[in-house]
Amino acid sequence: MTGIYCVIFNLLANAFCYPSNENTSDKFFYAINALARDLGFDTFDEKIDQELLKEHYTRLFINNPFCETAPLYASFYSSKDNLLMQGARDEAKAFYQRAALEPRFEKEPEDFLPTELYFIAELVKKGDVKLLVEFLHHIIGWFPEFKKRLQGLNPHPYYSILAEITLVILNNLYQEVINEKA
Amino acid sequence: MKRRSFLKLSASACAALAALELNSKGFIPKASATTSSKSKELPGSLGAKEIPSVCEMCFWRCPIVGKIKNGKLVKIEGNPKSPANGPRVCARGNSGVQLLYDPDRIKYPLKRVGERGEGKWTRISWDEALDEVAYNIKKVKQKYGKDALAYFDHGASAEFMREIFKTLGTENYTSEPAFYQCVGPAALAYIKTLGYVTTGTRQYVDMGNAKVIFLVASHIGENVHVSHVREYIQGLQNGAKLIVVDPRFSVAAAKADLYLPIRPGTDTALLLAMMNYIISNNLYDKEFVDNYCTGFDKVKKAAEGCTIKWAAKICDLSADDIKKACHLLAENRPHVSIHPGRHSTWYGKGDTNRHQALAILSALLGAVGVPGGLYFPTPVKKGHVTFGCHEKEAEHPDVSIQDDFYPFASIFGSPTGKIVEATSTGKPYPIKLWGINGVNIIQTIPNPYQTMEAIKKLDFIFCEEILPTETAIWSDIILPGATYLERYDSVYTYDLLTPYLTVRQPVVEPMFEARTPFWIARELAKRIGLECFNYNNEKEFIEEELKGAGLTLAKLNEQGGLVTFKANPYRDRKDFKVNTESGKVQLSIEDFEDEDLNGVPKFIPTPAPPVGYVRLIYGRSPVHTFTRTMNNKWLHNECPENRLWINDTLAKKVGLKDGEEVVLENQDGYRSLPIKLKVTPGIRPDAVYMAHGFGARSKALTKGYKKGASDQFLISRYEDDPFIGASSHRTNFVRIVKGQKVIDLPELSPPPAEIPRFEIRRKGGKS
Repeated sequence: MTGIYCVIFNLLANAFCYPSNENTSDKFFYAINALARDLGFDTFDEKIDQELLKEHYTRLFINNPFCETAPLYASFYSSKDNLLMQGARDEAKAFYQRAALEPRFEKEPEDFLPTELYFIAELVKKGDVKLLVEFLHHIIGWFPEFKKRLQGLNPHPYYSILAEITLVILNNLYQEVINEKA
Repeated sequence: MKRRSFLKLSASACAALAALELNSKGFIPKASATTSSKSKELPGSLGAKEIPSVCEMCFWRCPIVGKIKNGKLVKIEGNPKSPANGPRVCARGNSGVQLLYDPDRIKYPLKRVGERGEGKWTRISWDEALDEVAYNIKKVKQKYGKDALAYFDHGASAEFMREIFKTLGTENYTSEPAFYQCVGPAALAYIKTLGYVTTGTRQYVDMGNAKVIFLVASHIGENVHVSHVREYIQGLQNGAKLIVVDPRFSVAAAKADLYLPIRPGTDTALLLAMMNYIISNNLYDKEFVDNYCTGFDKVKKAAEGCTIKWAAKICDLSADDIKKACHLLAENRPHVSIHPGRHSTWYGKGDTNRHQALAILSALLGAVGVPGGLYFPTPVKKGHVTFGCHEKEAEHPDVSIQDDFYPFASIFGSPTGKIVEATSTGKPYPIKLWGINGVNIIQTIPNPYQTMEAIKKLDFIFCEEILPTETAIWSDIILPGATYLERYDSVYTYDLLTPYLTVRQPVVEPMFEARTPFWIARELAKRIGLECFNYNNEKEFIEEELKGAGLTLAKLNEQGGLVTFKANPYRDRKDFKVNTESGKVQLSIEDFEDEDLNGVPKFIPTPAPPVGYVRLIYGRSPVHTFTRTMNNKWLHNECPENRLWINDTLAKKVGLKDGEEVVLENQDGYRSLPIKLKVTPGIRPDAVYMAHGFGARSKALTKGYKKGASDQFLISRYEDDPFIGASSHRTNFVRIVKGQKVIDLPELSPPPAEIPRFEIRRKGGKS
């Protein structure tokens, strides 16, 4: 397991946060595109207006007056009623407690996607393979559903590609740590 | 096969990543790790931390206990210390959990970025949102004057922001659909007759000790308020006879000893005939009327000529049944509960007089201040808190919306319909900014088409909301309000038969970026430059209120969050006095006469359906609070859509079958969303019925969207109540559209000549 995953998951976590100067810089978009290219995906036009991206983020992940959204919370995908704060949130919280870490997004449920991606970066940094395997199992349990839902919402190419590469990278890391354990 | 790395990145990708210098900002370290204690945890809500609070799934405010486990609300129960509901909550009370954790919630401040009503938003910061609202309030006030600001409000969440509008000096600082589309006419009638709000938020009617309960279209059982329903059931268990007057065989009608399936719009005729019969046959409480009432002669005169035979014809009822009702009531007086009703803005012109007739009937039977009758509230003492706002009353403009159109409107604020009209026409003065809090006006104020057109003419509109309702979609700025489970409100006192004091307090912290109404109002006031809200937070003023009751928050919580008091609901006749000018019950109301309105009830016929149409009437689902709960998953599962009740004989004549899906078209050509039929003998053939609140048109309400039909979108015309300007909800007519075919409905119970027929002047193809 290499430190590169730590950087990548911090990047992905940041990319799924609400657009700000930090995650909409040229360098930031270039890095996402570089990952997409290496993983064999299409790239997106890096000249994205931050305000436009905010509009898309709101529409896709927060509230959409035209159709459904793809909420950024694990519970939504793993509970039968599509609710927040269900078992997946408790699971995520328990993982953080085991790692002696406390999420900074205190107003968001613990199963908020950026929080979960940041957590992977933390586990990679700590080299806690056992916990990492368990947590990857947790996130891979819901992320594909999230990706599928997002892709059905006519997402901005940036978010479409971001979801695709995130899933590939999650699976890659999972395979890698499984093999490392074996 | 064992591979060290699956992820092979190019040099350029590695360089790009390295250039970012990203660090994790997601976590902070804790002192020590903890392992999951799940295996030791008790199942379900057992072992949960319990926090007493107050429900807000409807306005009744039942005391509750929130059960918290692992930082999460897992269950809501009634507060066992509450003498009103005890450990019970209704289906809605239970489902507060689902409101709190609804993924559709408004999570962050939002700003409109598309056309108004288009619903394109972007998330913004609280600073930006509040600055924008403050800027627009100041701008509109400066440009058009204080009264160009209007505020639509409902419930506890709206109270603090109302202080801002009041301080800004607008006469339109409160415009509550809770009055103008609900209890306004009833409240006015009882205030003027008995001197207190016998029916407003609550109804002071002692059904638990009644010998007869008389309901005029009160759908108790479908309209669920726990303590009220318990008292009603207690009364029935004790053997009370039940008389139900309703065009529809409601849940209450199913329990009735005497059911009167009245022609819609003729209730006052029935009540006048009952008064006349009771008076002329000396069945009334002469001692009470002579000593404690004024205006008897005027009432007697008004009712003269309103015979049982006449009423039977007007109301399409059996004369014997009407007589039977009179005798049941008279023989059991004074222990008779004549329910004042609520949500009674039905026909416009006669609504206040109809409620006045109910109040008079109670008085004629001596059923005031006695067990089983109407009773008096028991005030519970608490400290008085002011927020340092609006020290002097604002001056009303030369032509005032509150004062100059409806003589008694100012008791309740500014009539909603008049605000909409002024916004559209600029008369009597322009209204250019709306603030909305706690109410989905598009699904509440009749003629939503008119409301949406008015919104287009505003310079600015903002709302404080929990869910992305139709009204939110039309807003320029949406402020995410905390749910009742995430906030403090004022101290609540319950002044009915089991008085108590309690407080709403948060059972969890506000989620996402939702903020409490007090915080929002305080921050907004600062930005507008108002010196308002001299408390830093809710706890400070709650302590002040509790001080007045000899309590502190800690002390109250030690006692389970609720303390009880002794009730004083009844009066000895020798001490009987009410809070009217004369100190007596006013059977005839001079204040009304002074304004050239009927001082005593008069039957004003409401037009009958045009040929081919039937009247649209509405009611409630017992598991929903109108549109507010339609997106609640548990409640949605219980009752996902409404059905259209249609008379079985009528349905058969036009070939309609139970369960079939149809569309309704009203007299103006507006069409509903599809709705399934409930073919039943339990409704008259001149009316169809649906529960209100369904048929959400906001796609962002993912559970409620397009589920059932909205009666609201079929109410494109309304009549004003001349007393306060309340708007009618039962003055629209519909026919059926099945597939592409419009079906005219035959008339099976034609109205008598005394009742005029509604004339369709405009037929359209609107949909």
